[in-house]
Amino acid sequence: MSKQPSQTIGTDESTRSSNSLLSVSDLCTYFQTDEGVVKAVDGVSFDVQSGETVAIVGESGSGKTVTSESITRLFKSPPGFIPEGSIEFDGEEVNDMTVEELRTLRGGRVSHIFQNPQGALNPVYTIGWQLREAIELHQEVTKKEANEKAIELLTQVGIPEASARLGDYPHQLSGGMKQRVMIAIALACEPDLLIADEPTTALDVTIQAQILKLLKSLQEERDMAILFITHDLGVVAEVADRVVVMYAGKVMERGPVMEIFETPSHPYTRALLECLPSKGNLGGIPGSLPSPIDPPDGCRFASRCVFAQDECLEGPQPPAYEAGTADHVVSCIHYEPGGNPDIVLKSDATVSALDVDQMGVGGENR
Amino acid sequence: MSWSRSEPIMQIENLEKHYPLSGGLLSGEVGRVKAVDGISFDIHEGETFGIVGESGCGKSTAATSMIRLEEPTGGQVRYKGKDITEYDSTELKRFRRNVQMIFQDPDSSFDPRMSIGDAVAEPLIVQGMSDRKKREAIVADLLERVGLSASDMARYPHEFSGGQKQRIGLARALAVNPDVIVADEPVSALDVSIQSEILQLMKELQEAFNLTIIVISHNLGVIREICDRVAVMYLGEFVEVANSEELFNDPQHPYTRALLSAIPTPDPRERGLGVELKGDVPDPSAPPSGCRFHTRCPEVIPPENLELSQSVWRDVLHFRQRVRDSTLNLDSVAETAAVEEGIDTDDIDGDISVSDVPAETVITQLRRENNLPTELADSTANETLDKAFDQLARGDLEGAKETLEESFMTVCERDAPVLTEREGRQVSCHLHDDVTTDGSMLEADQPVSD
Repeated sequence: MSKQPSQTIGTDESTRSSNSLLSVSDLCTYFQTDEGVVKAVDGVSFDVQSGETVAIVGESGSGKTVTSESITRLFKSPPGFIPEGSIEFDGEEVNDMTVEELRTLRGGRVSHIFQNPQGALNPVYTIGWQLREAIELHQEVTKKEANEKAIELLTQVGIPEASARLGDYPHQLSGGMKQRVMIAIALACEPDLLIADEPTTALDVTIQAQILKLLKSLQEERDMAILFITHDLGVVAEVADRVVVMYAGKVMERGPVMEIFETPSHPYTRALLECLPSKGNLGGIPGSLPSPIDPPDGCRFASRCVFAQDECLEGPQPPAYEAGTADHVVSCIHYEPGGNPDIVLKSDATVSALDVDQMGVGGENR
Repeated sequence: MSWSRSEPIMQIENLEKHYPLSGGLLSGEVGRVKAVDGISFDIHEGETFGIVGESGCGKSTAATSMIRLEEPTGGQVRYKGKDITEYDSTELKRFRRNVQMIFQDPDSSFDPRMSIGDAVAEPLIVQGMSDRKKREAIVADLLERVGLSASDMARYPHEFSGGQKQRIGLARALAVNPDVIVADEPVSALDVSIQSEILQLMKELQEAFNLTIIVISHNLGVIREICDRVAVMYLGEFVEVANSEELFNDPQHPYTRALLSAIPTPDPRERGLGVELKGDVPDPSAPPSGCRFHTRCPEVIPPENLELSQSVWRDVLHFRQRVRDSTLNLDSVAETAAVEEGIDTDDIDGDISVSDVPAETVITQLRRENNLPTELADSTANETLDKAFDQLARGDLEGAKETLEESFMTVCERDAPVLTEREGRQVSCHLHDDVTTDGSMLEADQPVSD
């Protein structure tokens, strides 16, 4: 499969490979509020190929969840609306779909799992009922077949004695088990794309490890693409094939996971990696997120960036320039052709993420 | 009060907090949730002590009961040499001033109708400072020390971000000039970049005010960043207590090792997440016998003469546990087997039971669900398992229970290990017993970790 990365982030000249499973280009999702229009997602482009894992990483307020919800238009509308941009799923434009078509898409070829399995399961129905509902909505099956399918799914997500569990209510299960049930429901219709929005954030690390392993093995069995939304760079390094770094509604950097961690190129990505506990570099990123209602000119990160120059505060967000390889793009003026990326890359102000010892590796010094 | 600075500022000894479970006809006590079950540690002035563990391990209860926000049900807590459980109300009030707490959720720890100036001044009023001018001067000074400005006093909590609110929480805790701060998950609700800001601030304030800090967290990264010493807690007990650097560089207890290896490293070349802990934390009202971690431990000591790899041995134990707890539902296994094997079940009336499905199919399904291979390396173990499977396939759960019980008994399950001092650190694990209770020598060397 040939991967043709899009050349730009903020403009509409993107050239994309036609065989991407999902291709989002120049997506904007705004919300009408009393104070004005909140530009939660403001020109985001990325592709997901079938069978791969793409992680969208960012802090709260970066627009990563709204991006994921825009794909199947899950956000409340109004106040939410998509003024421009395109979302193509398997060649079809999602923005042009009718409500009926969207219903078929959601839970059919595209499934979601969410952060809080407690809130996503209905407390007054048994998990068997909820699984059967998901199966029967999209497939013509008898009750018995639905039941058998439910048992199969629970077994696949590692819940033993599945048939006895079908009669359980959500409160009878632990958090990890509930998330397994959510995954089973999401897999009910053999989706081509699973959108996982912070699926392990509410879980303990040991349970998180179980769920991440489960997702990986399910992905291999089914050749399913996963769009993983998280704020945890450790999880990104664990699961992602490619990474999209978001900040204040814009894509700052996009590329293969190895390159993002080995040569983080955007000043924001570098600062984010520096902030990880155990990096020994406390202090955070000074400053705060720009207003989503009236974003400043230039690069959204400029006001907190140590490498910012006067040009950074003018015009639109810089386009996506190549950093190293064609698949690795950065929205930063230091990477424009003829620019000097070493200002960022060779700076003492940041250290490459991999030079420093990481958490959890016993027997090494800091 | 006879307390010198060389002595620990707080000494916790066998602290216990049990919650009674009521039920039955007369709502009598039918059991106890042993949230904290005998923990001991000392903390010196200016030190940062961390308690880390998964949710449900009792770490927050430990925090609240060691400062008498909840009455402990047993044990002693000495503050500057005096037992706080014997304090009268005046002494308790003074103690409340000396020990302050900050909480996880900065949104719910402020009154939305109270300006932050009033919120920070409130502890001063409670402690009897009636001069408003003086209070305002203190609040203004504190707000500036935590990185806000004195003019923020008139603003309300909703005007601040999560990180700023946590700063205000720190200012409020510092208002009465405490000696000890107990921070329960101080940064868990915050973004990574804000987390490191707050941790940095805590470090600075600790130096400026010579504070003693107790940090409760599930996040090992946070603990490593600011703690001098760390206790790892599991089901109400400490399993390992050590200096921060030692604990992270050379974890001794299998639980600590598992916890460390479960953290995803921000390095895509190091994937895999190490040893997987199967299952969830057990119910604290009925903790496992012996070592409480043995039901999930990846390094359980096998009985002598049993030659199995650790992972197979672990699966055998896991299987036995399920048979013993009767969480194994044979009819359900049979039904699942029937579905998986595509056996036609249409002519069976009512629910499928184990007798409706051929024995081999049930056994195959049992092996699959429990991850047990058809042939084990150890012939005795093999025979025992075969016998147990046969009994299960005939529906004889009790028989299988006995069969498994006899053959696979381990020291980890029989005897509770004690937290023993070893080279300046405390570990509670039979792997570190030089001699087991059988009298047989065990290898003192720690097993190779992942």
